[in-house]
Amino acid sequence: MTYLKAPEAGDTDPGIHILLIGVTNYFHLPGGRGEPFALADDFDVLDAPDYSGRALADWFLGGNLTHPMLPVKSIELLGSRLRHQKEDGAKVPVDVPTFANVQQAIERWFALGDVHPQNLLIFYFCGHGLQDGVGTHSLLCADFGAHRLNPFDHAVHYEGLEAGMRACAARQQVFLLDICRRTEPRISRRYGGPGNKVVALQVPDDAADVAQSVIWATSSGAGAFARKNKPSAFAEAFIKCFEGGAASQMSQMPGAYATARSISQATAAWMEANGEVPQEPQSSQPAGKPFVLHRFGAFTVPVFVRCIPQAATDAADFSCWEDGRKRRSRRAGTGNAFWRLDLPKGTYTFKAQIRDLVFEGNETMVYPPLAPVFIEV
Amino acid sequence: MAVVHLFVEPRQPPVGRVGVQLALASISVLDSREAQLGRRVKEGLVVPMSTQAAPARVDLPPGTYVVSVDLPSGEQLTRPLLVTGLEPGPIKLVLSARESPVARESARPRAVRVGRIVLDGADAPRRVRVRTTDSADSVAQASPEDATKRPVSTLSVGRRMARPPPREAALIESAPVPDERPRMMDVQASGLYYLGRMSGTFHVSNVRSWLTHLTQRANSGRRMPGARTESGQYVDVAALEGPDMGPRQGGDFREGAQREYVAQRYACSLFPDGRISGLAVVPWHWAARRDGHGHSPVSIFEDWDGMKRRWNLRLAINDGSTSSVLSYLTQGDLGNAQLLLKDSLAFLMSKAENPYAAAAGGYVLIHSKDDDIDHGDWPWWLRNLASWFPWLPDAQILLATLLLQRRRLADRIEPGLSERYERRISYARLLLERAMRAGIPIYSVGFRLLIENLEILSEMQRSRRPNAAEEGFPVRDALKVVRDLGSCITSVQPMTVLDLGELWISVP
Repeated sequence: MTYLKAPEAGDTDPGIHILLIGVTNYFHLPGGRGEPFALADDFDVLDAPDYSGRALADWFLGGNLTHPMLPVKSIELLGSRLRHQKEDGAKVPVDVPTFANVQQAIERWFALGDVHPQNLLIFYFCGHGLQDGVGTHSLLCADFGAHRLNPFDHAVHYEGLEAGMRACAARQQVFLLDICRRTEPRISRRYGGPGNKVVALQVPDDAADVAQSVIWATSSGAGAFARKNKPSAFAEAFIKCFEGGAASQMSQMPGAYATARSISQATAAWMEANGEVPQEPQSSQPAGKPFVLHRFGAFTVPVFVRCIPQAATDAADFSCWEDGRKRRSRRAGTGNAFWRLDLPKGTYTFKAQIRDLVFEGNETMVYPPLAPVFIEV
Repeated sequence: MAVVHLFVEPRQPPVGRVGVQLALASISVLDSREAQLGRRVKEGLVVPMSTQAAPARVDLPPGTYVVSVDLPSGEQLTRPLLVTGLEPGPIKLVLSARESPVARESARPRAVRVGRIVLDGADAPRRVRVRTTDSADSVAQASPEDATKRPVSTLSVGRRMARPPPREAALIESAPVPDERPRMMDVQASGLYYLGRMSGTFHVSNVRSWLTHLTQRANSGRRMPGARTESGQYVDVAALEGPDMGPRQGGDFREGAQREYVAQRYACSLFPDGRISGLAVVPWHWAARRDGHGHSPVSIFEDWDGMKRRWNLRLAINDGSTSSVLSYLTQGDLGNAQLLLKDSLAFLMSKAENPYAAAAGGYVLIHSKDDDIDHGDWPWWLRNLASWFPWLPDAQILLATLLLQRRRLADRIEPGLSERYERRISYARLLLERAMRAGIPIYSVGFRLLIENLEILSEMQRSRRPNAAEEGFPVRDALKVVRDLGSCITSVQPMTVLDLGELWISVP
């Protein structure tokens, strides 16, 4: 086991327990060194999951998640080629996400959550995923394909896991699924899937007692994207939205909070605005009601400034004004398709200067999840 | 105080008889001097998604506000609103729905166009598919930056891994809409067993046989007159009286399995060669409500996906309120589904009039915490729905879900049932068997619950719990069939629509 933050022995107070899994190296898929899986050509080599797992681990370890009531009590990470520096300075590789290791990690995570009903569980998986219709997503572990005739022996049936987790005492659970959701009929028709549910269904007295929030990195049937040698697009957007994009109000409490839904909407807005990838996260609530995951203090909202026509954007010197004072500016020629900045919530005016001409946009209210600004030139 | 009239403009004008959907809005104060977001002053405002319908009306004191609207598609719209108090009349605020991939998945054909081929250094050439929108101006283009943006599953090679050989680049052209539209056939499946008789000649393992039988029926069915659109066609489906579908008041959900009753109606889309490409489960009729679409319960749309070179079938309920409730639920927004349902719970509870709408309400109830429902007798209401309408698979699935997944509430349908394990499981098995016999769940959310419940029974069977399975209802076979059919649900729609084109090829 590789706990980046180990749970304290005997601690029964409620808290947040986090399990992060990034599967980069698939032994039997392209790039792997094992005997190739028969339909391995349907898969591509991965790079992002380790970066994504690491990025989220660092973010959680940095104390960036601020729940109104609960502290983070444990963080466990599985990754293909990640190393972890222990307290004594020794660097050790983290557990490789084979099915056996994933299964054991889930069992530990379940046990931690089962201690107290007020526990909050967070599960993150980044790697290959398959969808085979309603309620049938498979999370492929590193040794997927090891059994030639039963490759799904080394996959997790996500919906089965989700349903099984309703038997856990922890009443609040979040699942972050950073996977492609495409269907691969060649594979799913040839082999019995969709995998092992890991937590066999133990039906609770009332399934509605548990609140489960799910955030999918992409919409049903679509792919999830990433950049080379960087975390996935979703992992980056997820972390970014906690700067303020996911801030929303609750009717019963003052202040700004993040729920699975506001996170999903903020990540979707972010991904659409920066236009890097055609991907839109989705959230669902298979059980119970949405719940608060994070409480914001002071926050900023992402702003994307563009010219109309778009071609003028790179040629413009931009500036941002508040109450007649210049707050921020950007010189022309950055090569970006927009000027992106983060601003506290409020009302601003944006200007674009092209040569000697200054164009002023309308006064813009900046508030979550994101403010797109267009200046006609 | 100023009066604000709030409208939501749908993404595109409705085609066919599609009713006005409802969205839910909230209004918050926006004060730039506050460190935190302003308080929410209004919430749960029901806004019609049409500029022609009566708007939502709200009174606001002078101030600066943010109006936020959650659409049933999962999209969220926000707009600032300045109220000075000096306005001469009502303030008209129109929020326009934009293009959204989520909405597109659920409600529109997935038009995809090739952007361009990109190269990432020495890596393999990749093809980039870019979703397009309705407007030519807003077609997304792969930018030079895209050279380093790839799906998670196509990332570059890690340091310790072998680099795979490059693949050949492939350019996929979007195919134009074929001139010949698919034939849309009305199949009245009374007497057409879902997968054959559940006992005796039970053959749930033979999906192919079912498909063959269905194809014969579809080819001899009645053609539904469709209207051509630029991207395909649509059909307003006329209401029909189904065979003996009235409520069997006094019926009992515990009745034995000998009662077999199928009353399903399908809209089948046929390839030119007569094979079925898609199937939508269609309600026979729909009791008219305030939006008055009783004569045409649903509209069916079939649009061409040029990238995948196939037709996409979509079914819309013309009762805007119920369709909104279902859409919120399908998008995982239970809170808004509950809010909207409160407005129409009385109607839904009058199940004798419209069991389909009642089942839609039932799905919200079965997912809700008991404390959140004003009517404490709702489990009994689900019991009656299942008893009165044995032909409605969704009704059976709902009650089975209550028995299997919400044990604590079982006492409200029979005293002491929560503690009588064997009896409870026996009832659930009976209900699931009847659901399988009655046909395909009309709502896609029912499909997921059917799979979940069969898995629970299958697990119990594996652990040799008594009454989990009996002869005549092989749970694991049923689960396999339901999974096979579930794999044909390729888009997120509230109603069950199966893409059977690939099942033809894949089922032995």
